Amino acid sequence: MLRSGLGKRGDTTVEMGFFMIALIIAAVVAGSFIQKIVSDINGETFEKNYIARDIALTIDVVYAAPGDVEFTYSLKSFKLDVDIRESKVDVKKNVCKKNELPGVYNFFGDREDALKGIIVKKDSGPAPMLIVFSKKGGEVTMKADGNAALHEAISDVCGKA
Amino acid sequence: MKKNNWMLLLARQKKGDGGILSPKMVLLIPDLLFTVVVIVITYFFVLSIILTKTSVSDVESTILASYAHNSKEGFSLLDAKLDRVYPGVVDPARFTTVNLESLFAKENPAIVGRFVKNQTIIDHLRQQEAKLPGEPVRCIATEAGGPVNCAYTNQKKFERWAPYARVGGKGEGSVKPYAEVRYVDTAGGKGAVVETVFLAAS
Repeated sequence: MLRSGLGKRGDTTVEMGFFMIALIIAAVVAGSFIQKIVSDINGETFEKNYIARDIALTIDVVYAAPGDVEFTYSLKSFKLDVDIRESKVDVKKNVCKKNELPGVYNFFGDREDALKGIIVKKDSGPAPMLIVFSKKGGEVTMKADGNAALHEAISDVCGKA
Repeated sequence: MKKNNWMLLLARQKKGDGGILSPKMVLLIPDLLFTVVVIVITYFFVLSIILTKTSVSDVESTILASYAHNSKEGFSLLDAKLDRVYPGVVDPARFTTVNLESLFAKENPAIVGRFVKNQTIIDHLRQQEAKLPGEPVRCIATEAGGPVNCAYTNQKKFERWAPYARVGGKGEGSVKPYAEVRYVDTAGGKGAVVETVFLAAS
């Protein structure tokens, strides 16, 4: 038990306690950074950022098109979850993992009719995940195709917890 | 040890018997902070030598310029009866900052642009400063009380970023200009040159 030091032995014990706390906090910080560095080195971060940018620019192009348009975006061999809301594209390996850092990019559509939805993989099969963006009469919508499923809210994918 | 020593004051924790904790323990807090700082610096050092993202600002500026030219809410001529936009035909009445700020409404945009419409190629050549880096462009009213030849997607942010773009800095946090020129027609039947500069933060 830690003692507030009157004597030298008490001081040392409390010092050890503080040292252990510092060590634990430093280990937690170092652990999370190491996890991120590993993710950066193996290209996971790059992939997520690349897909997020690509999808955001695709949405900008669909919004910018002068007439009606339908475009099917294929994630090809990538099996990533895509969360589109508040004019932002978040790409994660698993959208339910709160501590996973996403690839993020913004698109211009900061208004009431901005796209909203979560696209997740149906299964681990080889079929590519497809996102179909459509613009008809000025309204932009999206749907999932292929090995992808579209959900409206995060609770539909991950449950209430 | 001096009684007014700040470290002692920080470390003093009175118990029932009035005992005082060692200042060494207080020193463990900056120790911890420095450890975390070293970890963070190491992390950013590793990050600086690994490619984690690509710059898409060049493509994005072209898309956004097309957005203003092609969109129904942009500055091209709109036939409300047919609900048809005429891309490439600029309507001077719609070539306004208010219109573009509404089209590119965003709380904190990472890319902002300015469109400058010059009526003739001579005006365009005279207004070379419209391109960044260079001197600030002079936005002039085309007629007395008429529309101005400049329109911004976010004027406040553009004016704040423009000096950084002119400096031409490199690395994280720098601002780069992406310029393009389009030859267009105007609703009045005269040709014009629309010069666009988008500024994007790295």
